[in-house]
Amino acid sequence: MKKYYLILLLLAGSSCERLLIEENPQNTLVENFEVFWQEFDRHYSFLALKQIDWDSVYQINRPRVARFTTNKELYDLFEEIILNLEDGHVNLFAGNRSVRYDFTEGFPVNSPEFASRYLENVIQPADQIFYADVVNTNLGFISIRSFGGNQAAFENIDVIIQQFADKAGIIIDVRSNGGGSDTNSNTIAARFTDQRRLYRRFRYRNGPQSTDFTDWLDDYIEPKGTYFSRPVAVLTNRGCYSATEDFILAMRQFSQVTVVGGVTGGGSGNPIIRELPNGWVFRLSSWMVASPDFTIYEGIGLAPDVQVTISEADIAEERDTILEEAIKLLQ
Amino acid sequence: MFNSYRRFTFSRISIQLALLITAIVFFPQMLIGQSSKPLLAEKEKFIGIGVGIQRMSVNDEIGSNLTYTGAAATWLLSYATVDTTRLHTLNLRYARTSFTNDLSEGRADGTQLSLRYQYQPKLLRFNRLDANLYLGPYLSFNAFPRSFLYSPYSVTTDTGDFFGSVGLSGTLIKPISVRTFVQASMSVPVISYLLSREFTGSTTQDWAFINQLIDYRFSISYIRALSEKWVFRTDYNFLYYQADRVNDVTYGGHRLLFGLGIRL
Repeated sequence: MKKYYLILLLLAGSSCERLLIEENPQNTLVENFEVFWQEFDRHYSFLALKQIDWDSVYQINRPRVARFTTNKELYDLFEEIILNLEDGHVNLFAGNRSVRYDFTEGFPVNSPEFASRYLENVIQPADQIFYADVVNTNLGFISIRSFGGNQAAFENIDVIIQQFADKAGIIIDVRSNGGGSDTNSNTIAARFTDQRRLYRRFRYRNGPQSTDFTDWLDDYIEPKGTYFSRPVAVLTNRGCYSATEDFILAMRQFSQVTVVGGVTGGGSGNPIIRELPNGWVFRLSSWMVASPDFTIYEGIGLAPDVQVTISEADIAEERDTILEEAIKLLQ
Repeated sequence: MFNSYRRFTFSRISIQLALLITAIVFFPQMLIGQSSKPLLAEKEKFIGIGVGIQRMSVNDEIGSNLTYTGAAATWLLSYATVDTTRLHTLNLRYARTSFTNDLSEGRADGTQLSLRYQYQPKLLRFNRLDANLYLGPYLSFNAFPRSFLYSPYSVTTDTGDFFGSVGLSGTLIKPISVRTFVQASMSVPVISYLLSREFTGSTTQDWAFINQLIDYRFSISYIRALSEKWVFRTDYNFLYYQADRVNDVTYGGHRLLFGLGIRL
């Protein structure tokens, strides 16, 4: 008899769990659209800022999806919706296909590809970083291609700054650096300040309305490691995105730093990952960032202190005029 | 490739569990029938170890919009004193679970660690039932870090719940025979201190009251003396957790444990 009570209890408990914890949706084309739409409706942080009428996205597309018969049609619709958001932090991964908005399109490339012509004694302590001397100057050069990966790679900055102790200045090239972790970008920036400074504010979506946000929260950069007090130039282009823009936000708070180059990509979303019943994965922005004076740069980018564009003629001559301008400023 | 990983993991756990449960259940059964001291005749002290299986579901808004489910082995170390006036219990539980769902190829690996002490003085005696009700406070510390991996995209999200709670717990103990008793318990936290991960990736720390954090636990246990020294124990637990923060986290499930204890 006791055995039956136990089985009954397990069954009762099992039902209880199902009642209390949300069940997963069905894998149908319509349910996939519903989940996709609802997750943006609930979490996407830029609906109001970008004046997107998300309800109309539903009203227009829900009847279309009801007539779809293939995942290909659904993928094409999601691609259309995502590209209209103009947000590099919104992506869809569907098997071997993916959707990504190109925030650099229509802007000067300002590529760092010719920088090596100005450098000597190149040392690469980690995949993401190399440093060098700038030829015929007393300047150091640091290239950071990504802020992704392990923080230990970025701790090399202390060794680099010690190597550059006698330099008149340092050029930090973050052009075409698409971001990574703000912990890593702060690891670098922390070596260029001697005091705690406010460098950004952020707030995140916290409710069902597109205008539901937390209060603005302040973020500070703290001094750490070997301090470099002499002039610094940070080189930027449209390919600077996400954590790289956090780096630029921090660096431009320091009086010895000048930002040279092009406007950045304007991506401040801090994406979260969502999953569809058909196994596709997508990312969407969950917060927004502003500079200390509350300027929101999402989709706009951060303007440099000194704007320089590498022209077609410069490219033909393999000249990096952004780097040349930085050398001129620091000498 | 992923499905084969899932099958391998579950199969490995199942074999280990089967061996353990066989050893723990059948060995004590052989001892039954030997002379044993009546249970609860005087103050009893038990120390024991238990192993079992748990099945849990997790819906963690930071990790995924989907509900993940997983089964795993779970372990319990327990110390208890029982007499007619009060009950002391100290439990340490551990489980490591790989959660999956039937829809995506995502996986979440979670480790649960829980330490709980409860002190329950006797509140009521039910003469007709021949049962005692004990009611008192408990103090618990719980950690449940989780890492979501969205295969095949090689992107991970780390999240988890860490909280300490003070709450109220009630236990009903009913002797079935001189060698056997059953025990039913339930508990709810009154106030908790919760560390949780937000969408931002940052960690927030805050007090959570009874309306903001639910950590409801129900258990029913069957305890039988095997000899002067040994006690066999079977536990069924149901637990349900919900933290109502900026992002909701809900998890719950069942555990079935078999244990062997020493009467001190």
